[in-house]
Amino acid sequence: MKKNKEESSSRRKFIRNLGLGLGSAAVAGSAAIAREPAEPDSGEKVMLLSSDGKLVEVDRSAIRVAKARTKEEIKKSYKGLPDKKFVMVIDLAKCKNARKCVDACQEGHMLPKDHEWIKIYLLQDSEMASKYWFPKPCYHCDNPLCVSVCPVGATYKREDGIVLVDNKRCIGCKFCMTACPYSARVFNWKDPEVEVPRDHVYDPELNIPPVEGTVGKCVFCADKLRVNELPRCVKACPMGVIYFGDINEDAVTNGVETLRFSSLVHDKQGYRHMEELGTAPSVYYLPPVNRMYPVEIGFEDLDESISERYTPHDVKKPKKNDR
Amino acid sequence: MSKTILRYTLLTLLIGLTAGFSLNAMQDEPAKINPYMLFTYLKNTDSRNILQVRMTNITRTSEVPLPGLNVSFLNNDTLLGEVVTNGSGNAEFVIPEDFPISTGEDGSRTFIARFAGDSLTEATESELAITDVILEMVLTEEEGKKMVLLKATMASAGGPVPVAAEEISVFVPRTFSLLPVGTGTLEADGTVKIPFPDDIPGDKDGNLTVIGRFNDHYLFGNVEKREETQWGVPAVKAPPAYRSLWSTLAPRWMIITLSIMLLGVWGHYTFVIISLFRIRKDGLKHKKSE
Amino acid sequence: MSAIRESLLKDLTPEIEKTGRTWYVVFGIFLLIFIVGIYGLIQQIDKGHIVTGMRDNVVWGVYIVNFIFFMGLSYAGALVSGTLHLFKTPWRAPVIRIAELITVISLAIGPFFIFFCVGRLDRLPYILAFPRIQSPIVWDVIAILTDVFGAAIFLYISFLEDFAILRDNEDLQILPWKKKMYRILALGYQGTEKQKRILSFSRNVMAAIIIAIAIIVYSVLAWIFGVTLQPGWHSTIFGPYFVIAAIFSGVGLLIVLMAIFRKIYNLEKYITLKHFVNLGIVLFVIAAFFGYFTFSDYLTKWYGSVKMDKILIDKLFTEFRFYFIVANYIGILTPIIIIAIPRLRTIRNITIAAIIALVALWVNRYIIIVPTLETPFLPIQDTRADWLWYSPTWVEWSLTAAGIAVFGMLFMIISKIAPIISISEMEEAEEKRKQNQLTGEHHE
Repeated sequence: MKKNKEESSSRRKFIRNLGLGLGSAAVAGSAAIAREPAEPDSGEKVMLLSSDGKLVEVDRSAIRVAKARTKEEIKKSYKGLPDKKFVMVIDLAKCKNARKCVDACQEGHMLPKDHEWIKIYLLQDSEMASKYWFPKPCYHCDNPLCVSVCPVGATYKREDGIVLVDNKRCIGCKFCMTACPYSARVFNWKDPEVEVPRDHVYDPELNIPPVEGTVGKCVFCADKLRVNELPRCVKACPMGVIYFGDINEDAVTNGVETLRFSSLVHDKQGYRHMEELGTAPSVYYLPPVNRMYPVEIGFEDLDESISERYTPHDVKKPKKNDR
Repeated sequence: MSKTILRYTLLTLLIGLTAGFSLNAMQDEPAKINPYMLFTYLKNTDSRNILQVRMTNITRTSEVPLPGLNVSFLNNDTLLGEVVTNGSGNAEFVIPEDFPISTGEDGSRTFIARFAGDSLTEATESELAITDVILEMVLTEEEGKKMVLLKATMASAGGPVPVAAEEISVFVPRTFSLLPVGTGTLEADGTVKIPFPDDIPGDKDGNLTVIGRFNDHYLFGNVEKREETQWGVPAVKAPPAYRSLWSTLAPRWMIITLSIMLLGVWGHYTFVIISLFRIRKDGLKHKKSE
Repeated sequence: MSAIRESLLKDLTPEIEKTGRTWYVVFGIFLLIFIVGIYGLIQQIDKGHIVTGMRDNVVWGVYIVNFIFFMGLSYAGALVSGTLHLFKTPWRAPVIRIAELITVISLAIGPFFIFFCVGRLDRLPYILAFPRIQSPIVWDVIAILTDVFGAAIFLYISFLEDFAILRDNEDLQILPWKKKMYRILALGYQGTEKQKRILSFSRNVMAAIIIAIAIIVYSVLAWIFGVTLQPGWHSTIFGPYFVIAAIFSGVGLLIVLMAIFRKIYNLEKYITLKHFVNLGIVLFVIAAFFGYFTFSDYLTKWYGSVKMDKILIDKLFTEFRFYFIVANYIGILTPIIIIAIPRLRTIRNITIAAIIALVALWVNRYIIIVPTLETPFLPIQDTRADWLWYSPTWVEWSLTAAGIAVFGMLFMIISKIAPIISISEMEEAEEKRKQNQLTGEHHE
């Protein structure tokens, strides 16, 4: 069973590494036939490897259709939703590290368990101040350093403020990861081995599946925003910690209550993390005052592999190699 | 003796096999989904009665919508209609205008949404008791202040009666939800004046929709009246950066500087390569003359 | 034929004519190391970059260190050879060929380390297809391409006269294809006045341009780090700092290779103690500058109270304490001490100083890159050791060794094609010396 997977995985890699780029077209190609042949059969047949490792014979026109559809999706993702500028407000007074946002995000974007597009830190600003839980998605900055340094334009900022990654163009140089001061991006170090539905066409807004050797990050669930639905983390949070909305409409909602963005940030002294870096993030935080729960609640029912993250480790590397 | 043993052995075998098969079957049978049904009532701005159902499956990590389920809507025992849930798990039924909705003695109408269950999903049903209310909204301006006048009357045994001491709010629709902008309590005569703020952003001309609404009311459900007016602040969107570090087009000075440097350096290279060719030409000339 | 030319040809042509067994053995060892490296590369392409030690925070490791290191070595030809040529330094003749070769070869090898670091090798052409000129990586690609081209032209110009000498040499016992190659590459150079003039002018132009390009290339490389906000990288001194470090490593490698070639080709007549001492003094001066820049950088970081700087400095002084001492104390002070004391100035000592300098510079690049990535603004909160601390794996080391092996192999191949000491330069230097002697005698 494992051998088959490795075999098919290495076969997939082989085709991909040859740069034919037909691997993805194969998935879409075999599906394009199933769905609707937009072009008449050219009669010319091509042998392709389908996503489940089988060789299929596909009409050449179907590949063109699939490739064209992928290109269309990518082009569409460059245009943001008109007249909108998205903003997020995270209420640190309510967060208790339930991690439902992390789970929902990983499920929605088919992420492997160790990839977190929204991370939850345990921060302490100064020694006398208290610790607090700090959910951190990508901030979709208005002055995004990650976009500035990308050599091939694989990451881009749209008019509605969302910064996306085109996993079909990313070369994996990881410059954006060193440029981002908030460690918002993750890298696919190995094949994530994720099965996508047969007729799936890649689009950067939903951004599945994760592609080996490229960068991934929170996309503010741009696919959901297109149908006026809230991002997955916003809906999943049981405490209603994350508010999301359009800054032009001056309203943010956490799925339960809707508030005016300007009054929320004004009344509760909303701030942006490390404002002095000048990146102009689109995520505001409400300070952890008058907390709903003590910090320790966040450790309850927590898997040990996660709770151990927050115990401060030595600055020095451990002597033995425990990898 | 041996016959008895044989009979008992056969019997045990039979029982064992049947038990085994049935156990197997029970193990193979997947647990049925226990759906969560959210049943709400809405009386929209055209005074149509709308019954809305949302079917979802609440897992450990998320709420998954359940499409393709057949939901029947009833008023007491009268079947109103059947709707199949769509891709988002929603099923909506608009009660025809002339339909005689049976009302109880206390003025409330009972609505039931029922899902009969299928091979994968358990059956479930939900009930609502809604009192009909007639809502009126007038938008006025008093002394330069925008005011929303709301009047509510409900049916009762002795005829229409003003709704008193109930909370009602004014909303503005936003992308994902309704934004509450004002709340008031209906006075004894069933009316209330709620001030409307001056700084709510509208579209680029300042138009927005004002909604007066009983929101999730214990008696009335959701009842709203909508009106579009020019009470919003015109939305001014900051123009995106055309040439910047992060846009597709680079700042002009970068392009100019880079071009000058490249032209300068490669120009020198070209000069040197041409010189090399001149050396060769000179060499050939001399060779010929030898 | 002049005496110097005859003597040089006698000493250098045996290498071009035939190949000894030692050559094959050494080449074979290099080839073996190279093959191990290729095996590592195949593992990396097959299994993904998870086989390296790089993880989500330390995304740049040994590969980028090697890239910067090899690009720095290229300064040997660019700055040393170019500057010595423009200043018409008399003792430069025996060493500039080696210097220029170092430049071209290290510029050819360096970019490969970036290729190893890139996640999607099959998409590498995208940099040329969809470049964004706001990105420092694109600046780097343009600069390196320009530098490689310029260094190659510079090397070729310096080879031209030697190719002509070899072409004209009747006694050369070489295969006909080599003779034909010399004839084509010599471009019909006869040594006429016009040709000499053109060649000399082109040489000067290229020397000047190469110096400018080299400084730009390395500054651009430094700015890849400098333009980010990371603590330790966002330093205004990075441009000049990297340039000085590059000159330091270039001179160091030049001294080492001088010592090696002197030994294996018996060139004691031409490469003398004087050359070592002179280059050693250059090493001394550059080491002093390098030490000054390093001290300046760390003093300002340490003295100020910025939290992230403090965390970084703490990390350098505890987890990376050994590396720090090697790079910034031993690496700077040893060359200075050895060369400052006249009694210690032997060929062996100066070569040892150069080797120490090279190793220290590699470690210096390592502690510039890795500790900064281990201390991001938002602390790494993870349980896995390889995500908290970077430790390179055998794949990365094998590819490093392969890079060095390729360096050696390319040098060995070149030494079979062209003389390792520029015959034409030596002739010119000899002529100049004789002329000075004559004028000196004349004045007396």
